[in-house]
Amino acid sequence: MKLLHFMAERLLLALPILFGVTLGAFLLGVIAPSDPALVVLTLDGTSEPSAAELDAMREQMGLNEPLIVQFAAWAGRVFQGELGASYITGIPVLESLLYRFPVTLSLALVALAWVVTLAIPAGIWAAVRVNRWQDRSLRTIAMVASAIPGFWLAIVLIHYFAERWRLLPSSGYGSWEQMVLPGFVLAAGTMAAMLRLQRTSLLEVMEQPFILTARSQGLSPRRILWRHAVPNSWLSVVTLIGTYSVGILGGSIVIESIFSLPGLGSYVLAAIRGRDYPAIQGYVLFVGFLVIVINWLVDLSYFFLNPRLRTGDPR
Amino acid sequence: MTGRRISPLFAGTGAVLLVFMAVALLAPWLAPYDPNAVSRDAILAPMSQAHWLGTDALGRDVWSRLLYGARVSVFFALAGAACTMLLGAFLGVIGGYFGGVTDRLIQIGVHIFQGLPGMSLMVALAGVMGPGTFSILLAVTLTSWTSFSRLVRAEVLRVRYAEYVEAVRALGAGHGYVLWRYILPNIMPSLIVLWTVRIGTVLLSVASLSFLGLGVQPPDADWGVMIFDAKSYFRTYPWLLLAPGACIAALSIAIQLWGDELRDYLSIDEEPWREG
Repeated sequence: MKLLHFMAERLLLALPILFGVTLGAFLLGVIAPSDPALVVLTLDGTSEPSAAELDAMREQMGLNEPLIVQFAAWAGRVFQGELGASYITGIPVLESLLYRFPVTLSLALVALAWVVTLAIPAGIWAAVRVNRWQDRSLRTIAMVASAIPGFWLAIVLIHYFAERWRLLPSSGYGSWEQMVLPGFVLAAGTMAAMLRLQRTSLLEVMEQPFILTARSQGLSPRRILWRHAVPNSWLSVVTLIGTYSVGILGGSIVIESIFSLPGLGSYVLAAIRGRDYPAIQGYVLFVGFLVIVINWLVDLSYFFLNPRLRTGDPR
Repeated sequence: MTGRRISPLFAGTGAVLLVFMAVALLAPWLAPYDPNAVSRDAILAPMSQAHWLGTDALGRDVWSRLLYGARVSVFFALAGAACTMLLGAFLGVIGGYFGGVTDRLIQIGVHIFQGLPGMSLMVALAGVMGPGTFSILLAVTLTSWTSFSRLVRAEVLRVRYAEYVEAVRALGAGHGYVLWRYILPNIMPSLIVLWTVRIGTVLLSVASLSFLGLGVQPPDADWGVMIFDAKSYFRTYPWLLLAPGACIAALSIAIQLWGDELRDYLSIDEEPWREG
């Protein structure tokens, strides 16, 4: 019952954000410097529409209505799952997005797998060996990793792993090997942040009185670390996994373009090159919606990670 | 200045930053060639006395392009972070100080923008508006002001109801005077530190935009454009790729370290804003 209440409350909080995302996507179309009617009429690249044709098209597309009316009509369609069709291909935007979503999702999951298997253990290790050389070198690596541009790292890694050593494919989509490199590059910056966070979070927990109590009761250091300290350090780590999933979605644009992955990122890039506004707006809406869902799942995970929420004691 | 010592790391990274700034300012005088001058005789020339870092596929001097690239990259990093700070701080101060409906509205805005994925929105904005200085700055600003406004609002709320502020108000000081004279100096240190953190992230974001072809446009080049140009040639001419990459990394590391040292120097305790 408690859980249901919590879930519903969080869902309600997401409503204004959903509204904002919709408004933002709509405004993207408004601030675009080129006239959508002109874009539609000159798609073939040869025709030069007359003023009358332009006016007719503007009327047909509802561009002469006041903005608020346009927005209401647009939002109404959006909530029925009607994101319009691409100017260029004529394929419904939602269909293309759903078709491409699994690519980006698997990329994001591989990236997350890198974070969880590499950065979190490294962060725990750095905290255990705090201020010794292991900690120092891990922190240095993390700092350098967060300073290197992802696209630069991608080019270098493709050169060594794909072209020189021929260990992994350089691009394309279809097998898990093709996801290893892009996932790693996508995760690189996130891994650095996650390592630092896991380290500080664990160090903070280790200073709590209950750790002292555990120690005074003669529990082994190993048991204190894994049974008491590490699980408690995960609360803040999970929050950031939510935040960084958002970053991973954005970073996937660059990574997908380098590794030729047919995901959401390469979709929006192609849309931008073609001035395909419905596709760009659809992308923003879709990603905004994904972020809301991700944050909701993260909130939900608090419920399981933090027993205090379940008993109704908020702090 | 009691108890405050300038650590060697603070001084060292500060010096590195100064060098980058100086290069950015003095590029026209330091660069031996016009960065966009195409030379058919010297295509992909190796490193030599004439061309310190060789030339690229169009025969342009890489060293000169790197120096001019610093100009563009540093400008966008500083200006982008500054715009973000101004917008975020303004909304944060207004919301925190006046409270009520204004604050509510701004907070809703913060929630909305936090819910939008930064890089995705940045790409969409820069893509829709077409490339240009203004659209790059707008894209960078709109997608990252929330961490500033949250920090500033929290700080303002902390001092807003302090007794000394109440006292000054009772003495007849106007809102503008209180904000300028008492609130702003209090939040300045945190603002500056957050700004430096921001410079590093903006540097990387703008480089990514340029790499995607949505940022700085040819013939001008920042380091992101140079990396993109180097993509097809670096196997034989690794310098084309290494030089701009090293510049981005070095500048970004220097900013990070300097920001950390600055925080220690200004003795600001934790980093609650880092996650934004």
